[in-house]
Amino acid sequence: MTEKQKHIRNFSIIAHIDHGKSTLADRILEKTSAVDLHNLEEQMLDNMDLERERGITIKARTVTLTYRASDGEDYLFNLIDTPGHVDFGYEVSRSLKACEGAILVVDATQGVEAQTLANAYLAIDNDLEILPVINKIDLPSADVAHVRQEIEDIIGIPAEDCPAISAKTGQNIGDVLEAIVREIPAPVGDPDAPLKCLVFDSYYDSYLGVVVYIRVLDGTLRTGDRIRIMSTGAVYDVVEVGVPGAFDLRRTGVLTAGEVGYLTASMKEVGDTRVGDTVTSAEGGIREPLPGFRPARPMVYAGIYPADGARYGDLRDALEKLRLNDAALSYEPETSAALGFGFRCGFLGLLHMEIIEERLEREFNLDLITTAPSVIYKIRLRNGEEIFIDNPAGYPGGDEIETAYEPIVRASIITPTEYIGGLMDLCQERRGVYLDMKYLDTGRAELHYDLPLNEIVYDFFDALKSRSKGYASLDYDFLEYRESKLVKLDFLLNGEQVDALSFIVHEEKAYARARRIAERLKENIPRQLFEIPIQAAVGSKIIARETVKAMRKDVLAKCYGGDITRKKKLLEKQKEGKKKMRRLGSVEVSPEAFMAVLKLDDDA
Amino acid sequence: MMTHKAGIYLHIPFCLRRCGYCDFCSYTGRLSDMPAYVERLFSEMRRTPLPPDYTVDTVYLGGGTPSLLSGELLARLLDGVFSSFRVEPGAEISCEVNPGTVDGAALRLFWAAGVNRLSMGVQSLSDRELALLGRIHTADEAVRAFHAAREAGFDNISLDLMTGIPAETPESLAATLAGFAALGPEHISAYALKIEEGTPFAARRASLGLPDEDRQADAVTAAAEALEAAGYRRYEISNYARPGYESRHNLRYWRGEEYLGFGPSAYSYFGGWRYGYGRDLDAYLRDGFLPRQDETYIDARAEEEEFLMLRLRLCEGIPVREYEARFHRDFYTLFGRVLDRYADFFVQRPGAVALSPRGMLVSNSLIVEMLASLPEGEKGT
Repeated sequence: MTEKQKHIRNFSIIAHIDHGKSTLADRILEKTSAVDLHNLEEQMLDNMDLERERGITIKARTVTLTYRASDGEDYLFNLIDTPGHVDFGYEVSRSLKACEGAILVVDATQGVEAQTLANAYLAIDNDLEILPVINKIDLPSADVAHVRQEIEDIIGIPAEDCPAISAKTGQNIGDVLEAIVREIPAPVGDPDAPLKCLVFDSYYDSYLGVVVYIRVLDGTLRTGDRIRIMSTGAVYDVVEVGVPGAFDLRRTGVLTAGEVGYLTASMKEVGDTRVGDTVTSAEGGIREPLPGFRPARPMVYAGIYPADGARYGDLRDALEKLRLNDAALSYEPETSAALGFGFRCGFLGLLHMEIIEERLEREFNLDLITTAPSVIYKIRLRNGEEIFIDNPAGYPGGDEIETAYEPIVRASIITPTEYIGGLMDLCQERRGVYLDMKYLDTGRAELHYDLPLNEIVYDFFDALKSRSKGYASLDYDFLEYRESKLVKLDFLLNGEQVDALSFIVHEEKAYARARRIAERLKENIPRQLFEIPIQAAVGSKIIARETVKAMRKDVLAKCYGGDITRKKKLLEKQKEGKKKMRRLGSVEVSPEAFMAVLKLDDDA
Repeated sequence: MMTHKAGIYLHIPFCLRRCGYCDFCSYTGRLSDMPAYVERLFSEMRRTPLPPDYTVDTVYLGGGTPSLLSGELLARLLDGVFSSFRVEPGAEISCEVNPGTVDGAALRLFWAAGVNRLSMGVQSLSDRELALLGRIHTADEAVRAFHAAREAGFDNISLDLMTGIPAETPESLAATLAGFAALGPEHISAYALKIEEGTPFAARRASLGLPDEDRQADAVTAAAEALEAAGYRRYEISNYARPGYESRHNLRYWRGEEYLGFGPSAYSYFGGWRYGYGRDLDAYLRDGFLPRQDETYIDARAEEEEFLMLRLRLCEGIPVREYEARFHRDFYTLFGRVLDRYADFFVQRPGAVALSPRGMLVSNSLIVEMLASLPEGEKGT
């Protein structure tokens, strides 16, 4: 170990949501010499508004700090922030690969929660030293002794002497900093070996191009080096090398084994290097990339359309901009007879989808219509061909299909024991296959199920939360494709199929879903001048029907007293409303009604 | 010199009590302001002369409750009309009457002052329904007021009927319609109750027990059928008359003809401009005038839109030739698609297109379809 390495600590902070990860990060930043206190905005590591609002970290951010320890020596801390949601599990695992240790924050009032455990296991799997920290001891209901016991019992790591702090008030933060120096191992690695760097994050900067965050495992990286991105084989000249300060990047010109920092190399989009990728020298580099690289693989697809068709171009520009920073987002143009021009977008999961939707709406001021999320189905056709379908519109006819397969995830649900029964029913209803259950302590259990992903994208989170009063948590990983009896459910209004409403569903669920959506359509389509039959069909077979009766009478504004202006304004308003309507065949439906039908907001 | 005709509307914003459904401009507890108010109207008319080539052929006193005016005040008001404008002999001079406010003596004074047409707000002949509407009179009082009006000399009386009201049943509506027919007025306005924002009815809409859309439509249809069977001709969506007794004043509005309105909330359409007065009685009493609001120049496009919107309310419909000549369009090229698609809702006669009885029930939607067929990009209002 070099002298330099002895004074480096690379670590992450992991925690269950709301246990105080970001607040602790802020305090660490304050107590070290990275940050000008006057500029400190609350929870500065989460630098997107949305993240701050939801209290979750979506994109990891990293910062390099210096700390003078009680031994009188200066240490370089690389605090590597990690995203905090199941959709981003892969990103978390790559961030952890860049560290030697992890601070596990546990709420002194809540104890060990689902994500505490999941994150702890992830850290253990990545051979990290775990440093538990009990937070929120300023709260009256804090029970430090109990939580220490929980950490030891449930996670199985010693917690007797772990720091007990209040990140909010700053109490005992010094203990954490000293524990980092003492407990977390210094990095190793040979500065003279061929270059081996792990990419664990990147973002797009309009001046610098892509800024790539790396952990140097072996070798030395300098400005001007020619490097190779091992997943693509692409070669770049390094423009800048340095470390991230709390507010800006600081050029150092060199990074050596054990260090964490950034490089820029005139890359144009974040997709040019994917998290988990390996960077080596263009010449004389290593042969074998680091294990575990996984290209971004969207799991959930949906059509996104501008509510106002004229804003298609704005939507395209917005997606382009978001993609610069989000390699996991994919999109391609799609046309729907019902919704016009839009995009088929791929997401890591439902949260990712929600985040993208919200960013499009907020940052780009777009009103969107989003179709029901779909997963990717694998179809073996009778002609032997195998295809993947992410859009119900492309689903082949029943007689062309030899076998259909759907993605299955392995799900882990952590819940207070009183909700076990309800959640087992839920998993059963959602075609789950029970694997096992273990009690974490007297009050909580962890359930394992194999579940079809398409059941999860259909409102599973909400059902889970409502059946556990919000206490249960879910984590899942893609497992495999399994053979399944799938059908495509179509909806017809006035005899015309509405493409944007089609979706793929398990045969057993088709009737119930068909009835439910048909009812929703009936509730949400306003009466029009003619009767509108609503039909749900599998192939040519109608499996549910409803009718929107014809409007018989509309509101007759009185039209005397000469106040024609007012009457006319009412009609003008009605006419404007009509312009915003989406024509589904001969039927007019407002964007709001369309969204209401697609909204999956209850147990169906 | 060719003469033009205009109508005069006078708004009388005083009531004994407000009805739960009403959103017209009116005040309660202010009857003592009526003499001063009449003077304000009087002097405003005097200083708002019509051009010399204009005559007035309709005068309409609306409210509010104009029948609260004493015979003396009414005479003073009409004196203001006669002395300010050239009122034609035989002009239609209408006054709205609340049956709970008049007796034979008062009605004789109205007749003597020059009123020759009454529009009586009867609404229903069920006492329960009248009470729920917040009317101040019973069915019996309404019938007696009608007979008193006949005795006072009125040979042109209109009765207001309201359908789709709380507690209405097909039977009670049939009884009211039969009662109206038995009275035999010259004219009947049959309005479907509309819940206006800001009224007491809007606030307790859910608890009113209003009939649903289908029953409202049934009520309108039942009224139309019963009134036509009783010899009344429907000439507008909500108006029925014996031949020759159509409301000439209201026809002005629907035919896009000119009128001047006086008093808070009154509208005028004159010389291409339409404007209304603010709804502030106190300001009017204090200042003697009211600021204009919604002042709009009715340009060719707006005129065309209003032509379509208003003429479709009339059973005579849109006169195709006149429309084409005035607006330089080919009517059937423009509207053929809508007329075909909604064939059941229209009646096509030689030279005219009107709404069918079924179409009249959904006139708003159909008018919107028509307006949406006009070419885009031309400036409207």
